[in-house]
Amino acid sequence: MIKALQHFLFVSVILLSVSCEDEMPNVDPPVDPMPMDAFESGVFITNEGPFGSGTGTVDFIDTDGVLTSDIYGIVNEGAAIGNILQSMTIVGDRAFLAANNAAKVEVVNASTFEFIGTIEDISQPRYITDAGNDQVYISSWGADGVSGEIIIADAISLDVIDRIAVGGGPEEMLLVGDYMYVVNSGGFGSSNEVYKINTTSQSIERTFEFADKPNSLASYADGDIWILCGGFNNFNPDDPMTTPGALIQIGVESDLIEYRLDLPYGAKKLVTDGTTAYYSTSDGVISFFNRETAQQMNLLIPNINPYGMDVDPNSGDIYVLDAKDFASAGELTIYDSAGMIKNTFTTGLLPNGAVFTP
Amino acid sequence: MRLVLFILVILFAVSCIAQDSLSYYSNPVVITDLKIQNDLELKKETTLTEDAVHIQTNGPDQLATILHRGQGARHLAILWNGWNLQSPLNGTLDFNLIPNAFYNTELIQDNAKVILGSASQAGAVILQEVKSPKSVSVGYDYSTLSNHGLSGRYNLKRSKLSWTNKFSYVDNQNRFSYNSGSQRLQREHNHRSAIDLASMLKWELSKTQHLDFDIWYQNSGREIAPSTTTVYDGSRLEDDNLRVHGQWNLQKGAHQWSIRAAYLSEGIFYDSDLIKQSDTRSQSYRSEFIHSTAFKRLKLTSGVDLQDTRANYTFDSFTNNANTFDVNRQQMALWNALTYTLADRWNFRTHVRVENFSDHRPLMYYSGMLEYNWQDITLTYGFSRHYQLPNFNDLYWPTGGNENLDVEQGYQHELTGKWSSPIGRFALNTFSIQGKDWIVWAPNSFGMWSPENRRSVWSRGLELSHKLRKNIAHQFVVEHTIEYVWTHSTLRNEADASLNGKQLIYIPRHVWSSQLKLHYKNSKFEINNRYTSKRFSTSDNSVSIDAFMVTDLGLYRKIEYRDTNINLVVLVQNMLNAEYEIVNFYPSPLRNYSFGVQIEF
Repeated sequence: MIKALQHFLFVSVILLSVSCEDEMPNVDPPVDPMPMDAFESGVFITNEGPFGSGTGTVDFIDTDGVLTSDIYGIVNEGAAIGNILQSMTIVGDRAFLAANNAAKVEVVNASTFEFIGTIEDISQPRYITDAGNDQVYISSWGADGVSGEIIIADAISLDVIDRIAVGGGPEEMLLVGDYMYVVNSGGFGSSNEVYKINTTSQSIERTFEFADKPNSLASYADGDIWILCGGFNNFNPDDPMTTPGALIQIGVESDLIEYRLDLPYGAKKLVTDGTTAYYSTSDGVISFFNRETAQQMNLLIPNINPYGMDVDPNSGDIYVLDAKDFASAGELTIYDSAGMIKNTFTTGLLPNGAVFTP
Repeated sequence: MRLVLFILVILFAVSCIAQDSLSYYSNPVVITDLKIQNDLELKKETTLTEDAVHIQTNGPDQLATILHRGQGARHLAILWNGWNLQSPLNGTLDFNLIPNAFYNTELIQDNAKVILGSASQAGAVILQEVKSPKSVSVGYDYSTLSNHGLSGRYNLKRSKLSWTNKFSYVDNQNRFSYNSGSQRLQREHNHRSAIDLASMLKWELSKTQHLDFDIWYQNSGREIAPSTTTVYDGSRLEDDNLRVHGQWNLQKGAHQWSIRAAYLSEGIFYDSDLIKQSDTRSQSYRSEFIHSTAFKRLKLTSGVDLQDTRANYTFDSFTNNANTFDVNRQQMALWNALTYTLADRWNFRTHVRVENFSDHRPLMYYSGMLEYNWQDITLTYGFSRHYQLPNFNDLYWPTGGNENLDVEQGYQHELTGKWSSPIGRFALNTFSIQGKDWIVWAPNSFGMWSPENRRSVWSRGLELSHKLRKNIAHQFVVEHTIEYVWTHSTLRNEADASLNGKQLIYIPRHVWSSQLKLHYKNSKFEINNRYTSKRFSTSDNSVSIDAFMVTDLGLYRKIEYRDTNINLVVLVQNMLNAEYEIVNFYPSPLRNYSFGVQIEF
């Protein structure tokens, strides 16, 4: 009996030692505490993280070009933001993180990334926009993808002030004067609507109907609004695109369409640095234009299909984010305004946006 | 001498791996025999809980699948009366749906698996009936996870007739607490309730003929637990399955005939706050004719396997109109198994299966195996060629299904050494599986997720086991099993070259299990350890899930009173209170207890 037990223990120990050859408990090296205001100057990269079983993360690239991964986890003792980090917005000294699949918006100090609080019970939050007067507007798809809302929250107390019902799938928002423009993609379905919300009365003042699935919008210094519509794809391999996308310019004062360019193969992510605008098309290229030469689209960076894209308002550099195979670390490539590569970084999983410190 | 020879086998096997050579292993269980022995009189050597396999699950009573030999869940057949129960729609069977009161499980690897056709590349798990000599039994068990289980069995035996009826009902809340940083949180939305009913009839028509009939109905409903980073969206899943099997066997002289038929019906219904309803159903009619004969040195078994499978799917969300597909596949296969004893010490076996489909090109599976026996040592080399059919979801999913998918292909080599020694039975198996055209879902040029034949994988590894059962004293038996599995399953020929050589996600490199049982009279003490090394959750291996070891302890006692047995069991699961996750952000229960009582008479 004793021998049998000895034998059992001996073999167990041998097997354990063999199996643990590269599996010894990870002892993290001592980490220097993040200095105060560590994230005051640089660019944040938002990573969605894996769908369902993971968490979104935020990387930070400082002015020396050093990338720090998962700063939220580092600063907040390993805490997780939540599943699918859809977007991040800096409002004053706070950063708002929309965790889409976790139905909440996490709020942190923008300079230190220390957790401040949570805006809860927001079904599928998408984007957050500063509405002034210590208020933020949060677009929300609703639990069923149909009952979308614009949720107005107090940026200080983090209380929900009001909810404005809109159609399914509200996305990006843009504050122009006293009005919040909201593009409505239709969520899992399709919509062609853009809402103009009066931020004083907190009600929809006008609904525009443009091309299907508007997904982003931007404005120039002189005020006009540009809206990018992706077009509706019914995912039928025999007929992959049922309606075309479009790039639309509307006058703020007139609310009239001043310019429209049909995009038969769709487009996504309209971004601007104030003088030049960029978007990516579904055939894998990035075009750009400026307002004065809107008719002359330029193919700036061919043969790429970004998962996310933003432009640095200070330098004009274009940040192109690649989700690769959607199951491994992503990649950030920084191009200058002439389309030349300046730098590349390895990011977290499914990088979808860059947020520049003020 | 025998020890030297065994060590030589080990060294040879290791050198094979080091030189990227190819190898394999086989088990004495022969699937060919299984197909003609419906009573599953297989020598049960292990149960799955003793095998060093990795079970992938999001938690108790959530979807569970087995990842073995670096292959996917769809590459491992789950056999009930020799029929593969894997869903024709998604290619898997949820292992948590198998009622413990009905079936034990055994993992087998044998080149004969090629006669099963698709979905057997990694081997097969056989569901074996839990038997009892008593006429009636009733059992109840309770777990501190707020789980309740009730089961019963009634056996009717006449001279030539045996009829068994069983039921099982579980109502599992699966409530447990877990640590999240400094917080202690409660795990919720893990509830499952299920009822299983089964009836088995065995009728000995004559000394040479017998008839079997087996029916198993199952209904299970459960919440789909979210990860700790996700809000619960009201997801619920209902499984509704009916399986019917009948078989007639005739033995005359050196010949055996068997005619088998089965009806397998599966329904999966899903709903959540986001999706109104997803309704998936499949029905499969199967029949098989088998003939087996034996000559002096030759044993020959052949079969004809006919299948007709229909599947339909309806998806209805709040934003989309209903999406549906309704598809049908007919399939005919011819297979043959040949065993030839070359000399007293040499055996040669081949298996061939040819399949013809209504919706796909014909396929031919084959394998060969050479076995050498010397005293109590057995050496075996085998190779095989496999395919894996795309499942219906891959082909016809309304948004993204790809009807142009081809089969996945696999080549295997294996080398086995076994030694039955006075100090137990040792086995060393090495294997190499080279797979290509694996189906992977990824966004296409329209940004739509769609499957493609794009992945090549090379899985190789080593499986080492030692089993010992010894009578120490009168009515005192010590039994122990130790298994260690090393699996190196890596990507090849990726478009992104940096991924080549990376371990497949969720495949642990090291798994070992050890089990010690002490039997004394009508009592048993049992302790199980299972170590699973870290698993990567990203294809570039940049993110991993920590390794873990779980220890379970069991105490069993049988009290006999006249013709009545009272079986008592106390289990301590995760005795060392390990905090672990099998999948990221899906915590597992800490230490918990189960109590069970069963009365048999």
